[in-house]
Parts: sequence; C-alpha cells; structure tokens
Amino acid sequence: MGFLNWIKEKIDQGTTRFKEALHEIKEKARDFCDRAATRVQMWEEKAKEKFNELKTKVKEKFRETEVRIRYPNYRPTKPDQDAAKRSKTFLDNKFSRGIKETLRDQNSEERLETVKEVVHNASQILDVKVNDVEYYVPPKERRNECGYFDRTDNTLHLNMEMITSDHVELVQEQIYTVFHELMHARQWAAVTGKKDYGYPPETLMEWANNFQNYISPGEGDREYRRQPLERDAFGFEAIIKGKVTVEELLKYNK
Amino acid sequence: MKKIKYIKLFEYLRDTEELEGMQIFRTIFKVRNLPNEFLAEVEKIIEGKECSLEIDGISYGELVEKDGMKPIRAILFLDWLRTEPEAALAYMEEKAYMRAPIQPLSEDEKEELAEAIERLKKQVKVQPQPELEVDMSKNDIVIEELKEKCHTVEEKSKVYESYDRSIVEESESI
Repeated sequence: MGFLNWIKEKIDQGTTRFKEALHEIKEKARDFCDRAATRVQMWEEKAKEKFNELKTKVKEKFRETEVRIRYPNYRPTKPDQDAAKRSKTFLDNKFSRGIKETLRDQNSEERLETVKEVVHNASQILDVKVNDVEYYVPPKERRNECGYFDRTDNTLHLNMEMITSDHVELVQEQIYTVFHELMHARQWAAVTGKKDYGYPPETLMEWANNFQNYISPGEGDREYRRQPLERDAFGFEAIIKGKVTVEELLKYNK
Repeated sequence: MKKIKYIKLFEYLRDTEELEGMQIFRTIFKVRNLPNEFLAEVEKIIEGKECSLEIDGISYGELVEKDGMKPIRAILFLDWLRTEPEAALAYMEEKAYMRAPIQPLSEDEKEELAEAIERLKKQVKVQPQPELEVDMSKNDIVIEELKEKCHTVEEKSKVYESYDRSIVEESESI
C-alpha cells in the first residue's frame, strides 16, 4: 500500500506540476497574444490616424487648388469682407428657406417686389446710390444677359425675362446680379472719390487702371473674368453665395 | 494666318462682333497666339464658312447657339477650355458669361477718371501692373521685330499703335 500511495503521490505531484506548467504556458501565451493584439490594434490605429491626416491634407490641398482655380488672386479687402458678411447675413435672413425655394413659390409680381426689396437693402449695405430699378427685355442677341448698372443715372437694369422665368435657377441668379452690379457701382464711387469706403489706395489704383482698360467678355472670357474689377465683383458674389469663405480666400490666395 | 487675313479679322471684329479700337487689337493679339488648328478655324469664320471646332465635348456651335457667344469669343473660350479646363468650366458654372460688361466710359467720366488716377498716383507707393501676356506666336508677320520689346504695358500699347499703322498701310496698299 505504501508503494502504491507513493506512486499516487508522485503522479499527483507530476499532474500538479504539469498543470502548473501548462497554466504558466497558457498565461505566457495569453500575455503574448494580448501584447500582440494590442500592438496590432495600435498599428491599425496609427495607420488609420496617418491616413486620416493624409485625407485631411489631400482634401485641404484639393480645396486650395479649387479655390485658386475658381477665384484666382482674389483677396477680399477689409471693406469688402465686411460688406460680404453683411450681405450674406441679409440674404440668409431674408431667404431663410433658401433663395430658390422662396422664389419658386412666388408669382411674377411677388418676385419683382422681392427684387425691389433686395435692391433697397443691397444699396444700403454696399452704400451705393440707386435711383431706380428698371426691368427690360433684352434683344435676341443679348438674351443671356442678366443686367447692368447705368452710372449716368444710377439705375439698375435687370433682365425681366429671367426674373419671371419658370427656371428658378435663373431667377436666383438675378438676386446675385443685384449685388454684382452694385459692387461695380461701389467700385466706381470709390475710385472717383465720391465715397470713401476705406479701400487701400493700391486697390483703387488697380480698379482705376482697369476702368481705363476694361476688357469686355467679347474680347475673351478668360481675361474678362480675371481683370481686377470682375475678379473682385465675382469673388464678392462667391462669398455671399456661400461658395467660398473669406478665410479660405485669404489662406489660399497668398 | 497671313497678314491679309488679320486685316480681314480686324474688319470682322469691327463690323460683325462690334468691337472697337483697343478691344480689336487686344483680340487680334490673342488670336495670333492661338494654335494652328484654331487659326484655321478663325480663317473659316471670317470667310463665312462653318467652324467644326470641339474641345472636351463642347462644340463651337453650341457656344454660339446656346450660350450666345459671338464666333471669335467662342473660339477664344475653346482655347481657354483646352489650356485651363477646370477654370473655364468653373467660369461657365458660375454663370459669369451671362453678366453684361461694365458700360463704356463717357467723355466726362474719362476725364473724371484721369483726375482720380493722378490723385491716386500720389498715394500709391508701388504702381500695380497688369499681368502681361506672353506672346507665343510662331508665325508672326507684322510685329515680329517689336515682340522682344514688349515688356511693359506702355511698350505694348506702342506695339499696338504700330500694328494699327501697319494694318492701315496694308489696307491702303490693297
């Protein structure tokens, strides 16, 4: 019996040691796997983080390229930054449902009333004199024309067909035409010293030279769009349309 | 294009596209820098033939008929589309082509502006210079010898003036 007990004891001891060794191995394996898994997860997170950084950089680079292509060399001056901010706030409040959405539900008379109100407010915000708004039907060869500002009598002329159009996209464009044309009126008043809006003399000089050598679209759309007077008027328009921010323009157009 | 074609182009721009003075010379300057395939199309237009130019799926015909562009303007736009497609398409997308140009200055306004410029000159330290165009024309005939001198705006306007004279002389000889 003693021998058998001794054998049993030895087996138990062996089993215990084996179990302990197995447990130790398992523990070590678990520890290793935990560490490995943690590392894998860490690498995944690091890689994800890096690619997200890259995505942000690429997105920013793409935006920079887009801004520089769409609005080349346009850096809004302080007076235009302030005017754009006020104009955008006015439009956002006036058309809280969206410009297109509001105009879509309006009949011709209501639209004309809306445009009149926009002209009134835009002339106050931009501080330019508008004696009257005239709606005209352009001749066939100028059908695509939105409108213009007549400096001789301070009258804003707008294409009637577009305002009463079923295509609300064109009606909306007339709202922005008001601001675009009044920006030109403001540029003229600033250059000739009728008003002091606080533009730097370099800007005024650039505009003055451009008034002297203005390029019409008929001479080439590229040059027309990029000349200082139009660059600044279209740039201003883009801000109030919400297509670009002042911050983006100042950041990317160095 | 041969010189005679430029004279025809001058007349075409003046009579058909209703451009005036400096506008015509600026446009001719741009036309002269177009690639040969475009120049061939300009020749067709001033001879009253059909133009078949198409860039990136946009045809000359649709620019004239649907977007209301005059023929030479359409050709110049297609060249812009060829060289800077994103900028050209962004321009069309923002409906910039639908805006009317600023009204020409009256005589009184010209005087007013000249006075303003004199006043501003005293205030501005560095005079801003407009971006100069690079003359890339290969087959220039009329102002080849003056091309090298074309460094400043003033000199460029002298070039235009001499070009003007040469066209007049050529017209007279014809």
